[in-house]
Amino acid sequence: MDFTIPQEYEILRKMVHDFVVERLDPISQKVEEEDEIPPEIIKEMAELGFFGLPFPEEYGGGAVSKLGYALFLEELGASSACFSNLIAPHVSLATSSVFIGGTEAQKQKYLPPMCAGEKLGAFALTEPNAGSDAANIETRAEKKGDKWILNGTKNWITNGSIADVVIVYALTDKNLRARGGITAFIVEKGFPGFRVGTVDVKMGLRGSHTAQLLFENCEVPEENVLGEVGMGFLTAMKVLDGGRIGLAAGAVGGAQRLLELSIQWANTRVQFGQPIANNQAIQWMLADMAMEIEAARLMTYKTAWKYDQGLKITRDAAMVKAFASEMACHVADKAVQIHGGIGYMREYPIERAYRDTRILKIYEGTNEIQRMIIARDLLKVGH
Amino acid sequence: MLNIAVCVKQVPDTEARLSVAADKTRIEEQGISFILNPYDEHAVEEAIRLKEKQGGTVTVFCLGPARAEEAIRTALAMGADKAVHLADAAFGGGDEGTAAAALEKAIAGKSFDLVLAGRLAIDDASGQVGARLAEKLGWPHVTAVTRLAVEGREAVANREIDGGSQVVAVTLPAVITAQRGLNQPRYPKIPDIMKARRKEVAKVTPADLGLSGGEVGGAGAKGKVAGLAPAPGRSAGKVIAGEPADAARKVVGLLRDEAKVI
Amino acid sequence: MPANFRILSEKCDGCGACVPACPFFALEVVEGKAVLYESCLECGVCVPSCPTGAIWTAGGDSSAVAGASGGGGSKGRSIWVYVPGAALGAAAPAGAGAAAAALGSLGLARSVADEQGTRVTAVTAGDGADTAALFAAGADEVFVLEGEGAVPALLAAAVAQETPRAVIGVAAGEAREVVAGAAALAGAPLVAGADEVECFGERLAPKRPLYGGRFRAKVRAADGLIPFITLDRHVFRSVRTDPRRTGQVRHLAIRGTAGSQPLATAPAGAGTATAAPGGAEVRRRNVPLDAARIVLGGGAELGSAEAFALLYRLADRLSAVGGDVAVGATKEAVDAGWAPREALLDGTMVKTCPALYMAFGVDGSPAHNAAVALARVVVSVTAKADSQFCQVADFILPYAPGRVLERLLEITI
Ligand SMILES: Cc1cc2nc3c(=O)[nH]c(=O)nc-3n(C[C@H](O)[C@H](O)[C@H](O)COP(=O)(O)OP(=O)(O)OC[C@H]3O[C@@H](n4cnc5c(N)ncnc54)[C@H](O)[C@@H]3O)c2cc1C
Ligand SMILES: Cc1cc2nc3c(=O)[nH]c(=O)nc-3n(C[C@H](O)[C@H](O)[C@H](O)COP(=O)(O)OP(=O)(O)OC[C@H]3O[C@@H](n4cnc5c(N)ncnc54)[C@H](O)[C@@H]3O)c2cc1C
Repeated sequence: MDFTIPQEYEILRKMVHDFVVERLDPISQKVEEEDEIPPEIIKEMAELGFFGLPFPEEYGGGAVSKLGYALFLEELGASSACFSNLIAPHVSLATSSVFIGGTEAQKQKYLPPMCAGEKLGAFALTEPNAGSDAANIETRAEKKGDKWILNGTKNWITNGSIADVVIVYALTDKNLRARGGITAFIVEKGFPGFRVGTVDVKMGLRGSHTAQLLFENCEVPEENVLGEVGMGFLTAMKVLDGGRIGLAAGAVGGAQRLLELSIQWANTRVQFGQPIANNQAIQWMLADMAMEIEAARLMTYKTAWKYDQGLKITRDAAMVKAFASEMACHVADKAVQIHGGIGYMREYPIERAYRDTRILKIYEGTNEIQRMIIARDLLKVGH
Repeated sequence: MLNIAVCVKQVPDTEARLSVAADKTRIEEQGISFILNPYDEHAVEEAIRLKEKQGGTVTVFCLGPARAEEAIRTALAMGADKAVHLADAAFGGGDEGTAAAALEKAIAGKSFDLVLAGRLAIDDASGQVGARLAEKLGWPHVTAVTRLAVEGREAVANREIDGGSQVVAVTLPAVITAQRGLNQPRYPKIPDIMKARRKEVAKVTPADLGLSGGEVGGAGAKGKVAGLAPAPGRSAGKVIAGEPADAARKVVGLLRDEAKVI
Repeated sequence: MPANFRILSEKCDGCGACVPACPFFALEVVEGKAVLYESCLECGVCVPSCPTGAIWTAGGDSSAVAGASGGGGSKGRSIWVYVPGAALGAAAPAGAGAAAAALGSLGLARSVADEQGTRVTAVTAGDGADTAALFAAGADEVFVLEGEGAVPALLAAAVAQETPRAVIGVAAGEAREVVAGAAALAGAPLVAGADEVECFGERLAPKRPLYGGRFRAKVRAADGLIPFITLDRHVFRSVRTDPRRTGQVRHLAIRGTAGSQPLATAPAGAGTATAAPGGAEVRRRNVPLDAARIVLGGGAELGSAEAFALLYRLADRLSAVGGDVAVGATKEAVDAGWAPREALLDGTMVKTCPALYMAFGVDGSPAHNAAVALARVVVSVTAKADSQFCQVADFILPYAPGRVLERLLEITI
């Protein structure tokens, strides 16, 4: 077993680390206040290849493995969560949908501009009545001549209000549903009948926008059926499996940053005449944080490695998603505790991280759903 | 067309926690991460910009152990074309003189128009490899350059001096060392990081350069670090009392005469 | 293991008195006994520090060892200081900063030479130098190098001919290049950027900072070689100039340059420098925080944009005497709009390592303190006695920062 990180990924990691420290951290507070990532920063990230890393070179991607992608998101996750919430849904969910489920012609058409960050992608599965129960979607697609007509509402779609390309999952056969009745469509901004509804006001993730998307007799040309009719649910599940590794990696990076800030604070904050780090109560919190982070990190790397080997990762991905997101919440809570009152204040990044971390247990499949997946697999396989 | 050689070194990460090794002359390398020397990043950046403007090639030269390949590939990912790695164990443990001598053998006679290097490496911080290399090559050199313009066979450089800067013109071929402010080094792009894996990195030994074992590394070094220790820690601050005007005068006096910082 | 020195463990009681005495960090107490490391130069300085006589020396007499270490051959050899002709020339295009540095290096050489009982020789090339200024600053004699070829080659050849005890220059501008180049041609070691020079007998022991000032090293020249040293400006002692001092000016004609080194082109600084447009000193306005030698920081306690603006005035004043000065600000000061974002110190991980950091009204958040942790000398001006920042400061002025700034601007620095 070799835990050495390949040289190119060490270089990648240092580049992202420098970018985070030099370009992103200084503007994080401003983004928080203005609820907007400056467009010039998005452009810079696009030029550096952030929007296309795991896709092959021939489509304009970076040809980075899942492990490389995880290391990338770990570094990016150290900064404000809005940045990884811009990149990861675009890469892990929207662009991956095209790559995993699309035809060659669709890949040729959509991947290069998506990898270059010229076209931003969103992934639209969730609906008012279909959250955890994704197969229960109600958005319908009906064939009319050489067009498909979409009707329905998608909820809480990350990047939905600013996306150029939306991968929309819709019902094409009510009876088949998950077993061949769901189809994915590539909907471009500007298609007739597609519009953005309300942009949500959230607990955290300021700078990242989720929105309601409305499809009212939205016309989608035949060639924009992603892959084949009826393959949508399968594509979505495969895409989400891979996406969970990215989510876990970001959680590890964010937690690591909180640990470092907590150590720094514990060493400098003096109460009762000495740094609070001298108290065992604080030391144990730091030790617990470090243990959980390390466990989640190793699970993330191993799952990424399995993915790169072409092995089945459904259970691993569910485990690492649930474990890493819970770890991140534990760490954020302890970070606030170690910081005391200042940890509760808007002026300091701890409070922001505490709010931003909470979503990790909910989106991309709630942790209850992850446990269902794990348990189902355990009971089926027997070990 | 400019054929440019860039000398780079791999150094401990500025964020790494460093400690003195058991022999008291080196840093403990176990468990720390290494980066491309920040001043060398400026040199690489300048070389790439010159190539982008005027055409030509950028070749990276690096003396350092196997791990230094990461710094080399970082430079290649930024846009350098190929590299020469003086990686043989015999090169280790040398001083600035042996480093410059080996680099000179690797660079001389290859029709380079310009050698760029960092003003200093942030580890040893001695800043003499560039000047020594130039002298060995018999080329003019300008150190700590914050602006560089190359036109035809002439380079005009702004050199940092105490309290200001000076404009110096030299004829090519020449050696220029980069100071911060020369440019803003680019971040390597992700696709380029992956493509850099396929670029040529030639590994050379002292014998390849026509050097004997006694001329390189520890065997050839003329200066040795005889002792290394952490800088003394801070003792409790001195409160300067009196009226504000007196205190101001006192602190200026202390800074000038005792601490010698102004 | 050093051949002539040993710790007698039966006598050593592990008191540690020898540890700080060793100039080469070669002694340490391990498990109750002193240990002597490889880096021992056998200088003998530690011997008298031991109260129990546990440091055994082959010669038996410590002072004899120290005296002998320099080797009799260097007796009477002078200490050379290379001064670029232009630095102190009548035209002095390089300006006040370079001239002060050149004089500072002479001042240091003077005090070393006085300690060692030898002479200081100022060495220059061409006839630009104002020799009267060199004598006034401490030179006993001035050598003017004359000959064909570039200055480093001339200097290297002159060193071979005259065998000085050491060759010193300023670690900046032309001197930095010439001294390094000459060391290369002479095949000699160079201790670059030394910020402390001690004397042991006739031996010079320069110390220099490494790893951004986090460590200090002593560098030893191989036996029999003349050490070259360039000096960081931190080391300069205040120069007591005496215009009545005079000495002899010798013109050294150098024929044939050092060894077989080619001299195809003239190194920069030799003639070519003057031809360029605008060769005069250009003062930089926007020194980046991580390149500045002096950083002035301002925080919330300054209270207003007007008070903060005084920092820029002080920066202008200091840059005239102290080199590059940058103004930094805490997050509060940036948020208040008193300073641009580029000036932000807190949490940006800007690696400032200035010689001097003067903080005005800074309360010292961990993010701020981490950003300035590598500063050499720290001054904190704040009326808030409980400021976290005072814990890391070398000098504390417990007054309203704005008032102190006004006072500082009134006095000549
Ligand atoms: C900020 C944000 C961004 C989002 N981005 C996107 C996006 O880009 N694209 C997209 O398609 N969706 C997105 N979503 C939607 C997200 O994926 C859903 O919120 C998530 O899947 C949960 O669905 P729900 O909110 O409807 O909760 P529900 O499914 O209603 O669940 C409520 C609770 O019941 C539990 N529960 C439900 N079923 C079971 C069961 N069988 N057994 C045990 N417990 C159960 C859940 O675990 C949860 O605790 C986003 C959501 C948020 C908040
Ligand atoms: C919203 C809000 C409202 C507030 N309202 C009021 C108010 O109305 N009046 C008022 O007076 N104050 C008020 N406070 C202040 C509050 O009481 C303090 O924040 C609290 O007492 C903790 O102090 P601290 O923030 O300085 O943290 P610190 O004391 O610095 O503690 C930091 C961490 O170190 C731990 N720690 C400290 N000492 C030890 C030890 N010896 N052993 C083990 N662990 C230790 C703490 O438990 C904590 O985890 C308020 C704070 C907030 C955030």
